[in-house]
Amino acid sequence: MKFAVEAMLALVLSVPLGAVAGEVIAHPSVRIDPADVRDVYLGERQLAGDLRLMPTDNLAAHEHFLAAILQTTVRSYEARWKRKTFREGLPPPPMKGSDAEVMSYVRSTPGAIGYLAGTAGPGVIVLDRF
Amino acid sequence: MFMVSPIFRRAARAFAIGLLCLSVLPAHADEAADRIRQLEEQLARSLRMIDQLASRVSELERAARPASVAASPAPAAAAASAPPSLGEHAKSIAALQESVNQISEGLSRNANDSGIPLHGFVDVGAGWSSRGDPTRLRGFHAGSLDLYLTPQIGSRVKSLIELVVEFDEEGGSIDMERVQIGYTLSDALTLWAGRFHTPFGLWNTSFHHGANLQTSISRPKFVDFEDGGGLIPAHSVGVWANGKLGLGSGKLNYDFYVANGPSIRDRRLDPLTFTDDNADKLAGFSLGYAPNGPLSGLTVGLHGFRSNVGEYSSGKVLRGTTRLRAVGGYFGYDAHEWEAFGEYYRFRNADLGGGATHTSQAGFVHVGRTFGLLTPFARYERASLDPQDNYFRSLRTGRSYTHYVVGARYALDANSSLKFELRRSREAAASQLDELGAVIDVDAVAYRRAMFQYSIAF
Repeated sequence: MKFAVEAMLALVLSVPLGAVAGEVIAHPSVRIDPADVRDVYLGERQLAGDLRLMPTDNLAAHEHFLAAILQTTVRSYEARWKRKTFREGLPPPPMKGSDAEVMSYVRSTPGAIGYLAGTAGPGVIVLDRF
Repeated sequence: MFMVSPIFRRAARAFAIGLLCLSVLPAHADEAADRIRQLEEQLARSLRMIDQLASRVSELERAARPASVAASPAPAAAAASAPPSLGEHAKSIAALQESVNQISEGLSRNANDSGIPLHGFVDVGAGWSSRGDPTRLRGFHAGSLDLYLTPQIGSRVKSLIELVVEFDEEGGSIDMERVQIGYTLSDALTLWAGRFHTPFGLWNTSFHHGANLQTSISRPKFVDFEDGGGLIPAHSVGVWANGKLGLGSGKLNYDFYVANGPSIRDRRLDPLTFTDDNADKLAGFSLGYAPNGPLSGLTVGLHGFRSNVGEYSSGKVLRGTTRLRAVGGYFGYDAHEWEAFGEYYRFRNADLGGGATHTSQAGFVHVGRTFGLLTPFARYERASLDPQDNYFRSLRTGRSYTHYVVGARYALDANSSLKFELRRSREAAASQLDELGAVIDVDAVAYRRAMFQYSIAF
């Protein structure tokens, strides 16, 4: 009983508990280099061949991901996207609330890229770790 | 076997709240409110998931119990009293995980099907200026409402629609400032068509009409919008190619555009949104380089444009045409809490009626530095315009000037700010052409302005 409850809560409540290792994941259809992840999240890279890349943010690891992969802060990231959207009509990555939501979105969406506070499950590929 | 009870729900909520508190602690002070709100939303979603999972577990229990009883009452009773095996744990967790996945997929689909988001900016303010100001300010104003949509169709078609409601000394107006539809051929090339902000320099394509985007209240005068007294065509109607290419350790940004050539009517520029007034077109380019590494955040570039501009008197009478030609350079820096912009334009305009050529120049430098929530800034603008150039003579604001601007922006949060700006201006005497084409002498003036603004983005 106790074990099951803990497992269920861990699945549902993926909130940050400090500086933990995370993973950048993608739908198996995505073929990009780890070095391109930064450009994808800054809207500089939108396509991989004919495939539209669809990055998503994850509230559970947002600050850690921005600092480690994009070398920026939440404020700078949001300001940059606001200007980019207003200039190019490109919307910012949607924000998911947890690892479970990101896993589900990436696994079921061709072109999707996301990141996790924890480790990836089956059905996705791991592009990078942070 | 799981027992779903109020105690379970209370424990789950308490655990979730505990986790929420732990996660809130390291948040940055000025982002705390947004982060708490987002975490509260996440918590609410999580609690809904827990309730759904609990219901699901109850259903599974109810579904499993009769079958066990019917098959063999005695062994079932024994099994109920015995502790569950590892295999049963694994099966139960797998079922729970599947339920979580289904709920999460449902949430994802709902988020993706939320329609086209409507964004916008609103600003209100007040201003006072001394005698001599051509636009005397003596109180409060309603500012502007800027609404924009960014519908995307498929993987390559994108668009941007911007509608602005604003007030000036002549009253209120509703303008479709931008209507542009783009097609992304590759990451290196997007083609746009429609009405767009002319891609010269950095200011015109960085800040647009959204007051909350820029640090200062005012734009540099000569790159202001046409209805604000701008001296070059801020809007264009035509086609535009832009993109980025890797070059060395950085990126080369490029813009090339062809559009209706503007005209001057009622002493201000008209981008001719409906159709052109002659066969000649506005053509221009911008090439910028943004290095990576230690100089990341810096952009330097060159720009230029040319067009034949008709000057009209009242009654749509064409009284002259000037070949407008401008080349120049720009730089921008936005990193490490610093923001800096500089643009320079050198004009070499030819009067196509008389044949004379006139040389003028204009430029500005803006520097700001962020200290926490406060960003003080300073800007210097100068335009030295040939008083015999019919292009500038036909514009109400087309005379040489110098502006010194200082101010500060205070970020109330990520989407709202208070701004204060002081400006000292000197404008040279000039002989200008009025709406009828008659020469009018305008005296030199010196004046000061103080402006306040409260702006939000949504």
